[in-house]
Amino acid sequence: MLVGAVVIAVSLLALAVVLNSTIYTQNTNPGDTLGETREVEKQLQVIQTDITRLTDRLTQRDSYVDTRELNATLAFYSDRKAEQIVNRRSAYIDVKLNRSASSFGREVLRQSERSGEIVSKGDDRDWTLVENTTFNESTPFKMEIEPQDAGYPTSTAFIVEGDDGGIWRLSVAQDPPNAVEVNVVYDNGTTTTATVSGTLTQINVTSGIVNGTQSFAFAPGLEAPYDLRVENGHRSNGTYSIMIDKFGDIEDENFHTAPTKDNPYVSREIAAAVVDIQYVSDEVSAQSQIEVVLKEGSE
Amino acid sequence: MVDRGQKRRVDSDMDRGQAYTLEGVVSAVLLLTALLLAMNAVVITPTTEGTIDRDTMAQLGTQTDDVLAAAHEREALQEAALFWNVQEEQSAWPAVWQPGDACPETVDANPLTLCVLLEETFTSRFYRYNVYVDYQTQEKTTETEPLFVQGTPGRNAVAATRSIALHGGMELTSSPSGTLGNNTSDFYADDLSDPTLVNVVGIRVVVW
Repeated sequence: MLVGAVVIAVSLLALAVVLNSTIYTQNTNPGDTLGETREVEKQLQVIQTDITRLTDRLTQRDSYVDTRELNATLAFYSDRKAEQIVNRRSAYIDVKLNRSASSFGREVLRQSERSGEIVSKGDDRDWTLVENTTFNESTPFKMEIEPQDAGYPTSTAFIVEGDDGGIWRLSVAQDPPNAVEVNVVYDNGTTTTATVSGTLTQINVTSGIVNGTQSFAFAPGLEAPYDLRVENGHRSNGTYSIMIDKFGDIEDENFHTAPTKDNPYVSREIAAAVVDIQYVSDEVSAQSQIEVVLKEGSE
Repeated sequence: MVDRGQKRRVDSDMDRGQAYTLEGVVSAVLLLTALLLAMNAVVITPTTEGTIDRDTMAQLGTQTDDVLAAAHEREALQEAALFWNVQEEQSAWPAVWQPGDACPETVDANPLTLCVLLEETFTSRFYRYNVYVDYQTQEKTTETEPLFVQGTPGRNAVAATRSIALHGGMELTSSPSGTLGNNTSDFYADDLSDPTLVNVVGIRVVVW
């Protein structure tokens, strides 16, 4: 009997130890999978907000979102997020634009490097930006330009030729010591000159606005569609963007088309951006997709 | 007579032996029951290190994360990350500010939302908190800028982090105001080499 009691006691003790070990393990294990799932949810929420804010910013600044620029910004953002996450846990995150699922609008001709000259891909100083296109409020031509030369005939000029042969010309020149002169010559021979202080000048060509002030009219009397040429592009530095409708003719030899950092380039306006998000860790692998509609009623 | 007496003694010894055995078994069961209760009590009571129990810490961690989630939805993280005095190049959250004081005001004359949320959630229950911003440098390292520090966190401190992307068009929320893009040289976080993004920062709240 005594032996039996000892056996029972040892068995009960062993059982108690096993039960306590289980309880201890449950209490100390933080539940890695659950924690990772929460992390994924949190990251998705954060990324959705960030992407919406970034696209809002691009739209606010340019009135459209350029595919190449959004692609580059998302790649940059993705790298920063990945570095940030890997500092805290062994996980990887990737955020990228899904080009095949996104939808696009008009074409965009751009130069995004402020120190670049207004020249073609092949460094031509006299060249054609676009032919057979129509400019209006929905297809603006904006630039931020810093002329390096004073006065005609060597200053940079943008020349619009109408379908009827009419000519409209805008030239940008330095007005020393610290001003810029924007000179417009209309088809009927009259001229308008706007002088603004500083060197870097913002011009909305299609709206006739120089540094926020209405200064000239765009191509009055010219019959659309137009051809747009540049003369002496090497005499100015700056950025520009031209929206064109689907009928515009662009010479591929004048613009970069690949998604690189080279300027000038041709890209597309994004109407709805679909962004793929991938989160991979030891515990969880998750994929998600978010869509940001930038332009209602797009194709 | 002798035989009868001897038999009676043997029967009495056997009865006594059975009683001893029964007593031993009952004692063993009692002891084991006590042992079991004691061992279970070790698991249920606060940890043996003398700290607060894991459940309390987990709840505090969840609450901290929930505060950051609410702040994120209300754009309060962006507001806090941009609550920076570019003239003095330091956090606009005054160093002399004490928990329980009215929260510092933004450029719109509204109390800083993250401060309000933290006060409502933690100070009212006698918890303390620090707020930091972790940002990335051009050398791809991570640096930390304290936005508000109450003290050194205790050993039971919990932390939660949430990140936000800062771009050049965002407005600073402390006077003198202005866009971040126009004030990057006086801002704590480096302007990284992207035309749109300035930095991706993490707001970290430590509560104890």
